[in-house]
Amino acid sequence: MKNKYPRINILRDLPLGLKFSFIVCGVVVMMGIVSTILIESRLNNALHAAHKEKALAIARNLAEDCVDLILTDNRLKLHQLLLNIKTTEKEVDYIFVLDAEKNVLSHSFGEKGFPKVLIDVNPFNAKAQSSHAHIKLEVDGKKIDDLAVLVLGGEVGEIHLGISQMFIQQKIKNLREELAGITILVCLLGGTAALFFGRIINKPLRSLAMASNKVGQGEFIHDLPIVAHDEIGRLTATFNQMVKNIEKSKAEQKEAEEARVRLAAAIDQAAETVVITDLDGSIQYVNPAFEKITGYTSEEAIGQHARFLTSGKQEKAFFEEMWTTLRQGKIWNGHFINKKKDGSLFEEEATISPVKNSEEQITNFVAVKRDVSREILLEKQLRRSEKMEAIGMMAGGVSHDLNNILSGIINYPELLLLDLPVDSPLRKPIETIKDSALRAADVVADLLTVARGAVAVKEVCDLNKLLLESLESPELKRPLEAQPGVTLHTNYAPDLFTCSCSSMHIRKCLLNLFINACEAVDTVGTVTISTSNRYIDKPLRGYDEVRRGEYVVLSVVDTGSGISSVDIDHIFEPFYSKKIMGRSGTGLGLAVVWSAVQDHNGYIDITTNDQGTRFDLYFPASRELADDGNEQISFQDLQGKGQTVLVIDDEATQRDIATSLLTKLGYYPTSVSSGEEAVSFLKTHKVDLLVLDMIMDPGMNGRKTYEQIISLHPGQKAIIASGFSETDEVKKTQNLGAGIFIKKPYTINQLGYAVKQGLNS
Amino acid sequence: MDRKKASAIHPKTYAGMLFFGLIIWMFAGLGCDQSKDVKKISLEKSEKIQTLSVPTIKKESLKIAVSAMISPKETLGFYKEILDYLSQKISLPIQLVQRETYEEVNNLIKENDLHAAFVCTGAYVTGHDDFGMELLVAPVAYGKPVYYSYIIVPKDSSAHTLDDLRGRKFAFTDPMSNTGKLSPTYMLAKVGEDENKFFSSFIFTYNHDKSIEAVAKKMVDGAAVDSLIWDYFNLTDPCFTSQTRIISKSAPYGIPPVVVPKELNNQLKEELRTIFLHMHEDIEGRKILNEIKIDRFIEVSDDIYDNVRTMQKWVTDEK
Repeated sequence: MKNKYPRINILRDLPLGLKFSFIVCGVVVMMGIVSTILIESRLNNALHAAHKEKALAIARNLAEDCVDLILTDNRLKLHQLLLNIKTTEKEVDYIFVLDAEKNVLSHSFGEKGFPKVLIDVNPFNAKAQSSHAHIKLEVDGKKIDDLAVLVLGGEVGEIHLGISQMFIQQKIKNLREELAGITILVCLLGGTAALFFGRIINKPLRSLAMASNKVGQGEFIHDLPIVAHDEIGRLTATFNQMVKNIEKSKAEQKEAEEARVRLAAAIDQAAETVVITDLDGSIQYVNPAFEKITGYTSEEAIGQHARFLTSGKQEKAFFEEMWTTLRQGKIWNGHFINKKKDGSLFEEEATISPVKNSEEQITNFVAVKRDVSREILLEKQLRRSEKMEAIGMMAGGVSHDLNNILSGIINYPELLLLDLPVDSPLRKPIETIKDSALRAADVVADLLTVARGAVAVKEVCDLNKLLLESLESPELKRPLEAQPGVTLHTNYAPDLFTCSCSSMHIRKCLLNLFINACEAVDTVGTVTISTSNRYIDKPLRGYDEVRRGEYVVLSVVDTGSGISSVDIDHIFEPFYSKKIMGRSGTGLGLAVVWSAVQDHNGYIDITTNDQGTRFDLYFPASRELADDGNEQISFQDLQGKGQTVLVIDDEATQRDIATSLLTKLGYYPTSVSSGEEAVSFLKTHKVDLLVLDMIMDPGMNGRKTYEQIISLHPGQKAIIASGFSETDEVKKTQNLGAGIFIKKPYTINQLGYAVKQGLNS
Repeated sequence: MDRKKASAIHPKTYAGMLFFGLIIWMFAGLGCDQSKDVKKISLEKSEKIQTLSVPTIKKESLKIAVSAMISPKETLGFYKEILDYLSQKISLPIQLVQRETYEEVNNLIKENDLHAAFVCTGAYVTGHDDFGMELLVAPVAYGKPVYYSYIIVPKDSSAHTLDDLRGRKFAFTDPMSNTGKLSPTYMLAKVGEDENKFFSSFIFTYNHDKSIEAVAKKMVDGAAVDSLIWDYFNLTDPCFTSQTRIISKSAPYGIPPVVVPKELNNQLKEELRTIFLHMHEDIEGRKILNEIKIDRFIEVSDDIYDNVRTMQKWVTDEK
């Protein structure tokens, strides 16, 4: 600002009293000088005039007195008269008398003689007809008035008087000194008075200045004493009132500022985006939430039109309707799909209000917007979960029954085949029945996987090894055979982490993705299967939100035509299939993938465009060493040694199958139809192993049954056999001491292995 | 705005200009006043001259003295025209010589320093008797060649006779004056009084007009004056005579004559006498004589002054 202190000026910056003093002294000195000059001038003239008059009077008297002396030629008396006058009149410097012929009759110069130059220095002007003649002389440096008077009209002669101005000058000098003295005295008195006056003024002014300074520092002094009802007093009163007003105003300002700061803090800290625009939509303010959500800084955003965030996903009419509403002064509520600085889209619930001034004119618009992208995602996930759960409920109910049915179709052919000779013509049809039943069981297993999460057993796996084995399987070779234009590429990360997974489900995932990839390639293209280690240090927003951590990623990439934006939201839904019915699939493929990944606490990301599609499955990495897998055990190795086994199952068929298979395996099985029955049986009997069904409605379930049994026989060995996938109840039962879980329907080998494991645990 | 700023002169500048203008004006005015018409001379370097010891006398001029019967200034006015007339008639410049006392004029006649002189009766009698002063002519006033001595007092004086002036201050004219000294002294002597005792004090004014003035101004209580002079002033300028009153008139005396030194050559003597005697006959001469209240000049014999000689003798004898 300009009101900085002006540069230093010694005179201007003097204290007020000194200034007054200087001014008064200056004025007095000036007045003194002016007065002295004027008075001196006037006095000089007046003294000269008076002097001249006096000299004239002396001369005239002398002329009168010396007429007779001249006429009677009385030189002595004439000389005495001149000397007498010269003695008595001090101003008279010289006198001389001339006769009518300009002869010097007498003079006052004495023995030095009369200076001839004086005779004609002041001649009478004949024309002027004056009774006297006057001239100013400077005689050897002295100022002299020469005054000549005619004696008897000049008939007798003339008298000259030299009047010295020395006395006039002396008088003027004296006067000048007196005036100078008066001036100095007045100066001193005036200066002192001015100093005193300055002090009188200065004291309240200093108080005012000090109070002003304090006010400047925030201390409000408004009780300065009013000493008198003069201008200073009125100024002090006004100052007091002004400070009161300032204090009040400051307090109001402070309150307003606090309110503003609170409001600003609220806006700054709000999770909601706040944007203020002018009437044209040009952005004037954005809050930090805006910067955080959109990625644009306020500097980048301010000045831009609000439309710079639009993603193009919404129609022009939508925005026209919004502006129409706003310009009518109404509040607009709506949903935006906008684009961030990084190009990603986000969705906002917005409320835009017009801001009006005191004249009810709209000056600005304020938009308060909430990022609802995550909510919408969660909503979608919830919807999907709900849908899956409904399907699961249905599938769960059906599969339980189907599994029980399929157990008969699988296990009885097995029993028949054990008894048939190798060359029996029945052998082929019975094996076909068994294979068909096994495929049906796979379908039911998929359904259960999708419905309830069927990953029952996890083991530490090397994904690369698992994929290599899988790619050798006939299931994976089949799609390549069906699509000869497809070329398979693999790319396995050499130092891939292990992961804890269900190898069966990983295989299923790979199979389903591979089949889909092959089918996506229209005629000629490539399918690339790769693995990699990935560390996610910040949540990755893909199809799913991938959380922070170490992952083993299985990627399947095709060069097909991609997935449409409409389909992408539904591909993981069961039975949502774009495939030609009958050609392939059951509509459960990707649903199984999704469920399996979910069960592994993993994530799926999909990138798709018209150049192809990429599926990335993120499985949490493990650094444990991989299990070598089940050893291939021969049927003979699975034979028991006559141990007693109690089969607990509410299904009669299952009890029969289990007892038949166990018998074949060399055990002595006994079966009961409920948990209660089993507890009752074991109160009187003792068995080596229990084969425990988990769901036995309406009686006790497997866990409760086992709890009671171990209270009778602590350490009772058991395996769990159930038509459902591994559940929490299964886990709790295992925690109580039960052995491994086998899923119905099971083959004789699976049962034999499980019993063997259970007995050896 | 900018043009306004540019054309505007700061008030401080105005004040400063005014102030300095005033100072310059005052000093300039003062300077002019002081330096006006001053003539520089040097007395030290000037040639020195001495005053003349005696008045310069022009060659081929006549010196005619007038005794101080009236003051020299009045004498100049009174006798100037007569002398100018004489000068014109005789074709020579005439220089008027005046002296303070009758005696000084008598001495000049005695020393033959004059060609002619108007003297008082007393001075003539003394001069004639001492060194043979000769009569040339005498005026006739009021029809006779006589005059009187008036004893005058201030107009409002209580004195009515000379005796009333006893113990008062008195003014004589000249010790040689007839009417101004001899006549009142004679009057007192006749009654056995001595002027030194009769008056408390007395002075000599050396001129009759001054005696009249002294009485008029009450500087003295009384004075003895020439009747011709008192009458002349009473007629022409009664400024002082009107303030006086005549309390005594003497017997007639021979009128003051025009005299010449006995050594003056006869031709000039006769030439002068002729001019005087015929003065009243031409217009100019008549006009001058009228102005001074003289009828004409006549030749008189010495014996008309005998009564004065008698008085002198009587007074001298008495003393």
